[in-house]
Amino acid sequence: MDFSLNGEQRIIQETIRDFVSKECPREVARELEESKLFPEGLLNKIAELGFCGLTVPEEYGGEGVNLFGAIIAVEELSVLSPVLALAYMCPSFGGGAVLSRFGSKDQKEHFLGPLARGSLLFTIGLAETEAGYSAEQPIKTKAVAVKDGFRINGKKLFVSLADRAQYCLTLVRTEKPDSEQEEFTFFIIDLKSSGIRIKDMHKMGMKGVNPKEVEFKDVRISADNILGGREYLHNGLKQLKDVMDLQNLGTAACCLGIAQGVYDYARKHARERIQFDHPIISFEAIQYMLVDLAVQIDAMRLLVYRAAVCADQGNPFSQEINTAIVYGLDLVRKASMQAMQICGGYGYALEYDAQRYLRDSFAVPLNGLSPSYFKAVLGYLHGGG
Amino acid sequence: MSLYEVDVERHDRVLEMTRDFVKKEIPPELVRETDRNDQYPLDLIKKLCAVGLMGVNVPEEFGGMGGDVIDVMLMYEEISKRMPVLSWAAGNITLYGNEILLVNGNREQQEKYLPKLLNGEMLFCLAITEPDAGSDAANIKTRAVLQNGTYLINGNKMFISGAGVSDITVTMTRTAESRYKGITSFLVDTKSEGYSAKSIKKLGYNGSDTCEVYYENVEVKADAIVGGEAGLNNGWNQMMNTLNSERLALSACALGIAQAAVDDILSFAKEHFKFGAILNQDIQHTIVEMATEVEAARQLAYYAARKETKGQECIKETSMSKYYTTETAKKVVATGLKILGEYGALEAVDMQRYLRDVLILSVGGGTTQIQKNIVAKTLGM
Ligand SMILES: Cc1cc2nc3c(=O)[nH]c(=O)nc-3n(C[C@H](O)[C@H](O)[C@H](O)COP(=O)(O)OP(=O)(O)OC[C@H]3O[C@@H](n4cnc5c(N)ncnc54)[C@H](O)[C@@H]3O)c2cc1C
Repeated sequence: MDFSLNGEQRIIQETIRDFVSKECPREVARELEESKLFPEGLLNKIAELGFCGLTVPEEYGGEGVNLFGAIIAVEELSVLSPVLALAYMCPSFGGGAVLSRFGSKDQKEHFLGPLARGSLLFTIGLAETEAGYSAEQPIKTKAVAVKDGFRINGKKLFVSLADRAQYCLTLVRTEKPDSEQEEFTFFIIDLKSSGIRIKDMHKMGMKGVNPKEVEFKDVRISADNILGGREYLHNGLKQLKDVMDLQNLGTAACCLGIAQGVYDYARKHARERIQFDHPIISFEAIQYMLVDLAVQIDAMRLLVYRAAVCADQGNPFSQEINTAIVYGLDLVRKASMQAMQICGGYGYALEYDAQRYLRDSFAVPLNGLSPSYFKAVLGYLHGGG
Repeated sequence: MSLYEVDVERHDRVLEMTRDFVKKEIPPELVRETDRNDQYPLDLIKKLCAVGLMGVNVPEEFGGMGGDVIDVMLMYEEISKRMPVLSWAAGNITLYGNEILLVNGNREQQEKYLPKLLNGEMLFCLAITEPDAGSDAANIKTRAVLQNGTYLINGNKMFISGAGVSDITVTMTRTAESRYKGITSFLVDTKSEGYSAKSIKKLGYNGSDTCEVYYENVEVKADAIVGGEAGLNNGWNQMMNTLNSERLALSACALGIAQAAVDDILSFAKEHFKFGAILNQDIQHTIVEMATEVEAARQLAYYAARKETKGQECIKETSMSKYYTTETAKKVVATGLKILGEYGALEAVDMQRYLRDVLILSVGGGTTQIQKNIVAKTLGM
């Protein structure tokens, strides 16, 4: 076991840190969030540096699948700009990572090149109700077989960046003749198809990558657009777990990065803020709050890195990543709430960043799933049935 | 059936009046609109005056209801369940007006201002905090200097709620070098030359008109010292005298928000989850914990309040209450958001506003850490 980054990983980390400090320092990140705009220009620059290719094999124009490298990028971007990190996750995790593993040959040839160049955005359509406790149960969106493919009707909620993305990986109900069982299939749906209506949903945070409601009305789609190809009809539920696990590598890294960012911010404030003639970090109540956070951030980093290493080695990593996401979602919320306390009144004013981290922490996109969902997944993995 | 056992009949009346008021005058959509447009809820304050509730803590001889701190808390909790920021705005009459004048003002000041506060003609705010004096409130540097029979105030204050809309800003100033015995509190007319307030944009409690305040050679007469001449250099003690009721009122704000979170999550859960199935025991038990913790916090707060109304020493209990209710409320709301997931983070859903609002309650009015320092001292540490 070696806990240090190898040469290539270190270069990736240095490159993305350098990018963040030059292109997206604190003031830029703040303005970006305030503008509520998608960070297109910055995403293009990240793509130019080759980061979008980190989830795509070389033969398809990527840098070779290096999920560990990609999560380092997400982590570092999230430290200052969670919004930019999520923008980056759209081509790299929702698109590249998933299609590299589960796409058909045709799909890989068609999508992976543009994904690696960052010129194509993918998103995922899952949840249909507010509750989001179970991914599959409330799905009503249905694909009915017609002459030359399928016709889809229904509605998805919490689809990140559906207004920007070209494609939405959408989980829908499909009917198997002579079977009582409910079947599901993942379709790669072109969001510019006719019959699609996209409506805004506004969250308290992550402005600029707000989710959308996507309605499908008689949307026609070919069987070739089933994730993995025609033979994967009715395989959606099996794929769902794997798709979510891959997506969650990015989400967990985002939680890690935000927690680190909020810690750095609160620590700086605690060192600079003087009350009772002392920097407030000299009061143990504050100091140990920071120490506790540092301890947990460290644990989180090990959990996320372990999951990514497992994934890169081609080993099962479901337990690892779900452990990380369950831990990370709690951590990021706790960290940002404590930072608010440490910053006092100055945490509350919009002029400062603590409140932005707070809003972002509670708005980390989960495809409409509740944090409890991942606990349920873990419960299942631990034998809870 | 009163929990509060001190003056059952009046408590019930205040509770009922407030509930009626909330039901009639504060539709949820109005609350969301205030959150969006950050407008001080002056209309509602006038209506609260019209029904008499703003005299809740004022003796009958001044036209009030003659209530105690429990009445104030009941009212604050009920209002905060629906519209937290309105309870703060109500503070611009009941806490920073009525309470300060009744506890620390002289007869002349009481007679001059109380009627105008009660009928909604005047608002008061309280300016203690400065950029370098937050938790360390005694570190204030805003000076009042006596010159030719009038005081000249210079300095600036930070995070003063209601400072833009108020008629009087009760301003803590330094009038002598002694850390605690050199502080004087003035009733500063906000129309005075040299006074200005600039509203601060913030995460929550939108509509509270929380401001930075600047004093440039603001002139005040000696009779504007809270309590008159006797109040000179006595501002710190005066502040101590009103701290208990402020801490209890803020406890009630926290209870209101926490209760709203419990109520919302309960109706959400009933609608969305089938209970009984093992699958949802997690949610069920989590909600039970939320409800239990709010109830425990409420008991502590009203226990402290009963001691206060009976004139018993209760610094320990009010500080315990301030810290415990606000931290509990934060925890309960965060748990509510965890259950709701991304849905709870939608601007159209109230739970995220509860979070944005509740977070300041463990900071303002003495932070959790400061309350714990106080409790530690009362426990002999
Ligand atoms: C929305 C809002 C409304 C407000 N309204 C008013 C108002 O109307 N009038 C008014 O006068 N003020 C008001 N305030 C100011 C409020 O009272 C202060 O924010 C509060 O007293 C804390 O001060 P601070 O923000 O400077 O934090 P700091 O004092 O800088 O505290 C920062 C952190 O350090 C901790 N800390 C500080 N000292 C110690 C210690 N000795 N031991 C352990 N920990 C410590 C604190 O607990 C906190 O976690 C308001 C603030 C806000 C945000």
